[in-house]
Amino acid sequence: VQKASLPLNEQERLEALQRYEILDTEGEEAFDELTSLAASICGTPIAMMSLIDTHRQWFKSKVGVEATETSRDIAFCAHGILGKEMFVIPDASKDSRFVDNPLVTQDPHIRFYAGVPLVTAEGQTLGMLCVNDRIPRDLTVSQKNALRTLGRQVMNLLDMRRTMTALARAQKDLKQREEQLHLLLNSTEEGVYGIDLEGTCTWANRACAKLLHYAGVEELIGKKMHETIHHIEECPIEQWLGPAKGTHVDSDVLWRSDGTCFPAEYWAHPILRDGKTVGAVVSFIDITERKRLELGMRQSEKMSAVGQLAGGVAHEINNPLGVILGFTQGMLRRASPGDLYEMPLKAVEREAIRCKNLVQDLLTFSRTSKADREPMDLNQAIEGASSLIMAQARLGQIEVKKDLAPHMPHILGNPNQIQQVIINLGNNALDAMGKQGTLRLRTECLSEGSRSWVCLYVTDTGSGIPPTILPRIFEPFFTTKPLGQGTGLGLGLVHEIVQKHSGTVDVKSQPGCTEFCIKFPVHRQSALPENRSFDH
Amino acid sequence: VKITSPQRPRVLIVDDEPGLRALLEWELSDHGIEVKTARDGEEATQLVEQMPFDIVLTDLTMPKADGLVLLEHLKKTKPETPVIIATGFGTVETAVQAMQKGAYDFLLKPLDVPKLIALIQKVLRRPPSSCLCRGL
Repeated sequence: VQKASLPLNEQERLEALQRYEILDTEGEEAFDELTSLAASICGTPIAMMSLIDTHRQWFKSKVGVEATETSRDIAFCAHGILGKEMFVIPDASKDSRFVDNPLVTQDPHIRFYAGVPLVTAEGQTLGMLCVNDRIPRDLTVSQKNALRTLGRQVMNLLDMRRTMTALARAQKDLKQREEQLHLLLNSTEEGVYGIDLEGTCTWANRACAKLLHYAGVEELIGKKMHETIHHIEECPIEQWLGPAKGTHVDSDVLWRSDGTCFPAEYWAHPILRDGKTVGAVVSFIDITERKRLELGMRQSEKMSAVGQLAGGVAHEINNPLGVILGFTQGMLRRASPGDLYEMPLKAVEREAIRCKNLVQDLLTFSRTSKADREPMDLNQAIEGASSLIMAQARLGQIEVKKDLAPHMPHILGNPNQIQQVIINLGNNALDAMGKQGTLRLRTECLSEGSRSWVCLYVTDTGSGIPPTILPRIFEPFFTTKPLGQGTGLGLGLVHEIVQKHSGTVDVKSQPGCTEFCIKFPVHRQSALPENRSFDH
Repeated sequence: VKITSPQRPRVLIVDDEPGLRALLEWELSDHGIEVKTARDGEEATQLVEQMPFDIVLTDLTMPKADGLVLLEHLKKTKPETPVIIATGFGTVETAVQAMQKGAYDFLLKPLDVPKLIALIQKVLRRPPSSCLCRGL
C-alpha cells in the first residue's frame, strides 16, 4: 500500500482542523444533506465527507458505507488533500497507488474516486468531499462543477458551525460573567443602579430595590430615576452626564416608593463606551444612622457652646437678678394682704424666678459635660460635702449620721461634681424632712461578678416619695416644690453627673424612709488605696 | 472692756455687688440691725479696725482681697467675730475650705433673706461671751 505523503504544512493543517472542533461529533443533518446531494448528482452509491486527522480519516457524514473512520494510510482522501484541485481516480484497480489498497481489494471494492478538497479561507485543507463507486467511471463537466460547489458549501457550513460554536461559548461565558456580576452587586448593601443618557434606569441591584422599597429590581428598570427617587430640581447626576468625571454628594435625600424619604450619600460615575459617555452608574447608601449620630454630636456641641456662653454671663446675670428678686420678695413680705402693689410685685417675683431658673438650667449644662476626672476617694468627698449639709441641717433639728466604710477603692471622678451630687442628695433629703429627722450617709464597696462598685446610700426619714412620681424624679425640670422654690434640676443633675461617671442611681421610698443608692465603678488603676498594705 | 451699742447689733456686709449690699442693708436694717457695707476684703479690714461687729457676712469672690483672705485676717485679729460665708454655686469647694478655716457657717447664693435673718438671729442669741462683748 502506498501511503500518501504528508502535506508540507501538516502541523498547521491539524491545528486548523482542531479549531473547527468537529472530530468525533454527532452526525448533523445539514452535512448529511450535502453528502446525499453529492451522491445523487454524481450518480454514485457512495459519498463521504472525510476529515483527515493525524492517523485516520474521520467521516462527519457519509452515504453508502458503514465505517465512521479508516486508517489514514489507506485513505484516498489523504492523497486528495495534497492538491487544491479535484482529485479523480477513474479506476483504482489500474492505479499503482491504490491497486493493493484494502478498500479496493476488499469491501467496499472501490474503483472510482472523485473528491474536492475542503479548504479553509487561510488555505488549510481539512479533508475531502468525495464520491465513490464500485465500478470504474468518470464525471461529466457539470457533475464536477456541482461537486466543487458542494465542496464549497460544505466548507461554508463548517465555517458557520465553527462561528456558531464560538458564539455559543461566548454567550455562555458572558452569562456566567453576568451572573457573577449580578451576584456581586446583589450581595452588597449599597444600592447600585445604572442609567442611560436619558436618565432611564437600565439596571439595578437588589439592595437598590430594597433601600427604595420596591418589591423587585424589575420595578425600577425603565423608570426615570431622577423623577422617581430624587426630587430636587437640578440633579447633580444628570448635570454632569456629559464629559465630567463623576460626582459625590455626601448628604442628600432619596425618596422611596411609598413616598417616604431617607438621607443618602451617593456616588455617580460615567459609563464610558469607546470614550463616549453612554450613561452613569450610581451607588448610594442610607445614612440615617450617621445623620442621627451627627445630630446628637451637633446637639451636644451646641449644648456645650450654650453652656460656655451661659457660664460666662451667668454670674453677671445672676447677681442683678438676685437683687431684683431680693427687693421684690422683701417688699412682698412687708405688703399687707390686699395691698395695691401685691399683685405687681408677685408678677415681678414670678418673672424674675423664671429668668433665674433659665440661667440656672444653662449653668447646669455648662458644668456636667466637660470636667477633668481624677482618681478620688468618695469618703473624702462626703466629708467635704457633709460639712455643708450639716450647716443646713443645723437650721432645723436634723441629725446627720455618717457611716463610711474604711479603705474604699478610688473612683474616677470630678471632685466638684461628686460633691455636688452629695450636696444635692443631702439637700433633697433635708427638704423632704422639713424641720426634724435623721439623714444618714453610708458607703460600702460592692462586687457584682467581675465588676466592683463604690456605693453611697443617702437615707432620710422624710415623707417619702409617692410611687406615682417616683419614676419621674430624675427628669430634668421635674419638681414637686412650689414655683420658684426648686429648679427641678437637683436630682436631674445627680442623675446626669452619675451617668457621666458611668455610675447608676437607684431609689427606694416608702413613707418615713427614702434611700438613694449611687454606685460608681471602681477605678481599676487604683483599685486599692495605698494604705491598705499597712492594715495588719 | 467697752460695749459700744448693746441695743443694736452691728453686721458687716462684704460684697462687690452694690445691688446686693443695698438689698441686705435694707432688709437687715428693717430687722433692727445696724449695717455697714464694704465692697471688698480691703475695705472690710479697714472698717473692722474702726469699729466692732457682731457678725461679718462676706462673699467669697471679690476683686481686692477675697472672702478667704478676709476670713484669715479676721481669725487672726478678731477671732471672736463670727464670719458667715456667702458662696456661689461654682465655689462650693472654696466654701468647704472656708468652713475648715473657721467660718461660722455658709449660705448659698443667691441668698435666701429669711434664712439669712434666721441665721443672724441665731448667732446673736449666742452667749454674750462670744457675741456682744466686742472690741476685746
